[in-house]
Amino acid sequence: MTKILIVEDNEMNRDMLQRRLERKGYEVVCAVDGPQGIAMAAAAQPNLILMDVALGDMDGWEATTAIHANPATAKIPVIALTAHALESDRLKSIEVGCVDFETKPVSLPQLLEKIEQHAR
Amino acid sequence: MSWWEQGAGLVQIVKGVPRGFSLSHLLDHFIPADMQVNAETHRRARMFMLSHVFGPILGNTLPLYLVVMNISRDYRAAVFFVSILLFWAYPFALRRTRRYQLLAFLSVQNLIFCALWACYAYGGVSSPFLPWILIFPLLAFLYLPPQGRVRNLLLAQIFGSVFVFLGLCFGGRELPFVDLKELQVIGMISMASVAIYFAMMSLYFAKMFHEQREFAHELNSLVSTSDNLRNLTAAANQASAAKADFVAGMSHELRTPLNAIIGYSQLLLEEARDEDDEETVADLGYVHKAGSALLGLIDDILSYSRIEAGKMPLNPSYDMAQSYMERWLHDVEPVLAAQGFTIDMVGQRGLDHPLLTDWTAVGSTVKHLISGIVSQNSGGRLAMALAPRGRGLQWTLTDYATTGEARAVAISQEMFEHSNDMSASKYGGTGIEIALAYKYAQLLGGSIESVTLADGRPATQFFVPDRSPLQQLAA
Repeated sequence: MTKILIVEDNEMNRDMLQRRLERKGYEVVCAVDGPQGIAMAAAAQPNLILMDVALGDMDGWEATTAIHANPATAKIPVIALTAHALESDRLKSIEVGCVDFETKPVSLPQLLEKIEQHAR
Repeated sequence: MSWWEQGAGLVQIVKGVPRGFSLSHLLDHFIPADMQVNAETHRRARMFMLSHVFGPILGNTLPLYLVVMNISRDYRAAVFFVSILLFWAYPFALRRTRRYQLLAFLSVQNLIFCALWACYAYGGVSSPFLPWILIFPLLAFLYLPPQGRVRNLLLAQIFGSVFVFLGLCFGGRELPFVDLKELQVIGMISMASVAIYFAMMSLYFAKMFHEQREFAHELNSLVSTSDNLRNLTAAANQASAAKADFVAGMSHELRTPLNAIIGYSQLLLEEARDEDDEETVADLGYVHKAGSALLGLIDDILSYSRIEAGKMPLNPSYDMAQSYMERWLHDVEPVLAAQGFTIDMVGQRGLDHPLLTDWTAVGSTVKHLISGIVSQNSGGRLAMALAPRGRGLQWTLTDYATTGEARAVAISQEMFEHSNDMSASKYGGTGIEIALAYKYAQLLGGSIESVTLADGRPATQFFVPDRSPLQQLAA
């Protein structure tokens, strides 16, 4: 079963996304901030990470950089989730090594397509 | 006088170009443009020109009188006459060579020679032309800067020349013969000429001084107005940036709960569909649709505010119109279908070369323009023709009713800005779609306009320029 790690600080968004993905048959684990996300990535070894960009002290891009710097998690694909469809956000996501980029609120069919495309 | 006329007068003063013909205009004709920039240099150059245009007219009355009255029809009068006539060459020399200081220096030399020659040739220290010696230092002061080596040299030379002249007169050398009785009348003429010359130079100097003081006053007033305007612009920019920050903050605060409404309604919708609960599916469908519409509106307001505050950076990239619009059409077709519209895209030749622009902003412009158009009617067909135009691309959008008839649509930048015209009820939507399309078009350096096509159909055109460097286009 494909395991997905959701790194999202907003409880409602996290719960909502988790439930929707679980309904589609994915195994979902969650982290509430960047440091927890880095630790969970190493511990749970998910097939893919959905990373919120606005995460408080350590943002999603910093967390992604840290995940890719660790050889144990370097190959886990990360999809960035941002609030605005800004070109600058998309470029920044690519720069830090994200495989894709999705705006919130997510369109589930579109997100599922991207998950299937990138999950290792 | 209206504010407009006052403004025009002010511009006239600032430019320093009087209407029609005037003395100053004539004098400025010979003064090089770079000398007219500095007020002090310009004043000295004008005095120089005045003296050289009118001085010879006054001066030559003297040798002409000597010849006409048969007092001196010989080389003395000829030298006197020619040396005065030479002054008319200086304005042309200045216009041609632009070497003002050298010409001012030579001109005073010329005057020293011609006045001392006249004194030497016609009576020595008793000559009726002696008063002309008085104008030597005057000209040195009027032509040249208050300090400087050239002027000091000139003053030394003036006094030296006068001493040499006195030395010649009192050194026992025999002076050319002249009957002083015959020179009584010309003595009076000479005095009158000197007086007229002095008066002319003084009056013009006073007039120029007054004009320059007025100019300085107007300039100060303009500087002060310009400072005020700059401060007001800075304040307006600050207010605009503060408004954009407020809207961005509010947008973020609104989006978070809205995301939850949209997400949970979608989740519940999926669950209700699985359970075949059609009534709940319909109700949740309304919640989801309303939430999505509200989110779209917030995004539009945020984009509008960001463009207004200059906080929407452009990210130009090369793409081909044809392939971009095909991808774009794939996304927009279902949205239009939900509103009972179909869309036909007609492309012309020349769309397969790369064009540099912000394609995301182009897509937003066309999307908002179309949203604004389709919100004005329920159902129909939209024809979108895409063609190269000059250094850019042009979209032509025509709205057809289901009966096949082309419809006119209301397109105005003010539709959203003038919200008191009840644009929502008037145009169907909120009006922000078209206003935002205008903002995006301006940001891209393009334009949107309502047109009537050659066959009489009403249409809306959007033009976006190519940002490619010119040499690349030529290649």
